[in-house]
Amino acid sequence: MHTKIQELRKMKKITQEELAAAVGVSRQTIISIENGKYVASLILAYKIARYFDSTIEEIFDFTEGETNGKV
Amino acid sequence: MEKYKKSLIYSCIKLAILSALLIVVFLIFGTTLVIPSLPKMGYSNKDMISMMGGGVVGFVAVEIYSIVSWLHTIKNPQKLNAMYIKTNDERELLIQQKTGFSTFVIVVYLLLMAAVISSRINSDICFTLLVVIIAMMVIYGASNLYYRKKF
Repeated sequence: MHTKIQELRKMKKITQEELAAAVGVSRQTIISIENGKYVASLILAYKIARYFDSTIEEIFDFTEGETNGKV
Repeated sequence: MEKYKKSLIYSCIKLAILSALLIVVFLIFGTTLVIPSLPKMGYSNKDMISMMGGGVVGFVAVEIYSIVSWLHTIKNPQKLNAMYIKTNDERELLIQQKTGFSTFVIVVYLLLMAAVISSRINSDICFTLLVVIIAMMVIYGASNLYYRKKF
């Protein structure tokens, strides 16, 4: 999933660590979301959007069929 | 965070009860249980008790270490926050779910293979392995049902 997190983070001069602490996840989770390896849950997407004073749709570019993979 | 603090305290209490139960069960059954097939396998009952005792001591030591480290973490807000993120991080939870399920499937297949192989060598071992596989399947089914009702 493509996201604008990295872009917004750099604009606001926020580190991955700071964003992770603010939304209550690990830095590795933020890295994985930014790299498109992990699809954030609705709650986390909402927290990230709220952190950047934005909406989920503006930050996350959701393409149908994208999940965190089958078991 | 207060809710998490409380859940950690409950976990400490649960672990302490489990440790005490394990010691009691070992003292009651472990020391009195006589397994007739042991001499055939080249072990005495004393050997078995000392092996089981070693296992119990190791398990209880790990549990005591966990309790002490959790109680220490509760007192330190920074450590508590770090632990909260580590245990509630959604990516970490997803990884745990996926590894847990795939490990379960692999273990069941390996046990099945071992049961088939052991059926030609020792029927007791084969029977024990089959009981373990059935118990694992029953526990899996029961927990699956529980979570289906819960969510």
